[in-house]
Amino acid sequence: MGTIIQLFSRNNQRGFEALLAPHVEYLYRLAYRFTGQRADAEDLVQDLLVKLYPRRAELEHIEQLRPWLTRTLYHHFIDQVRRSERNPLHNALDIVPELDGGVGADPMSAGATESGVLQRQIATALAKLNPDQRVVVSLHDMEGYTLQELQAMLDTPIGTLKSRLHRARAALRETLRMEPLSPPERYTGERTSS
Amino acid sequence: MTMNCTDTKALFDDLLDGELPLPQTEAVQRHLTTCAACREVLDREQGFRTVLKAQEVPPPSPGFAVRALANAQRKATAPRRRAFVAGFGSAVAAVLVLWLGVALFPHGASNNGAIPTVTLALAQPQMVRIVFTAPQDFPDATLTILLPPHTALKGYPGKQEVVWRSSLYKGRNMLTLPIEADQKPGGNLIAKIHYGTDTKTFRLRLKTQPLQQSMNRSVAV
Repeated sequence: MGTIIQLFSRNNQRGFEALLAPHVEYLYRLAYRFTGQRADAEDLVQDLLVKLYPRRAELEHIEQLRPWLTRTLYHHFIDQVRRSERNPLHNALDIVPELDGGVGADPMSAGATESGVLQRQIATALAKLNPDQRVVVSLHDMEGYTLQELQAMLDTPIGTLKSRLHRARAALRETLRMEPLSPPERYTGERTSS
Repeated sequence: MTMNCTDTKALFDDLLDGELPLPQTEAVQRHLTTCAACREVLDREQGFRTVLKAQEVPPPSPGFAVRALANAQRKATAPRRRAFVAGFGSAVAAVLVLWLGVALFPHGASNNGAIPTVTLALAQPQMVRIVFTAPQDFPDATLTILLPPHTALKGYPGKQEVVWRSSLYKGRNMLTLPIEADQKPGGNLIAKIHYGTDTKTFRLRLKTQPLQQSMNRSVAV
């Protein structure tokens, strides 16, 4: 009997893995765009997979699994952010490590290439967006989904998506000082004092 | 239809998104043929989107996909942690004293969101102090420490996961961990605080360097 149960369990696991293995890297990429941190992205995907495991029979009957997974990841991300914001632990500050004897935290190594700097600036700007804005910028401007696809995928009206995109881009431009509606001297090529 | 600069620029988002109806697209294009300033703005906006699209995603940690799928079943069917925690009652008291006893120690600056790093000497236990700054009291929280491979917590031989029940108090809470690395650690130390239904995860990158270098650095600081 125990062997039969083990076999059943192993088959379940194999079925789950076969179904989701082609999508894990994709989910991680989206999760990274949502969270901006590798470790947080891995946690988000891991949590999602844990939640999906009991629903493996349902997954087998979903025809378009990738869009469904994208929507599920999105909801899971938003739920997680809202839940953590409600919990006072959310405001606990980061840890500060020290070594006995006075050796402190190492500074981050700076990959000081221009593109690296720009990438970090964008990452910082993205982190300042609210979660819904970050998701729509990630999926539309980075992953290339159309607004029509996102409307169906996220079950959100196009008007709402457009509004989020518009505000998100404005916030990003502001943070990156790339505001296209800035004073006229920028258009004529004159440098502003800085 | 004649458009001024303000009207034109207001349509750039829709134009680049392919959402602008044909008559308006043509009106925008007519304006652009005579307005260098708006062309420049449009070019900049296109450049902005190109940069966004090129934003890199670092690869996940090695073996992540396989590990995550395997963990899904294990974690989905695992008994709840509370029962496991109860078995560590004796350890709780001992560490609680240490934790609260050093709570007033000063500490350094915030790590600004990056994973903080400490460098350990090889094969030599070192006290790593971790300061948790809490905005309020968190009574009866659970603290989990997950050690990376090739490291050990003195007093807990063979255990890569140690769990304590304790309380965090408003302000600084310091945890001191005697950690020894026998070779280069295979990942990050993870500290998780469970409170109520939520969990906050912290990561600490452990690096190693030869004993002599480590001692020199300590002296220099």
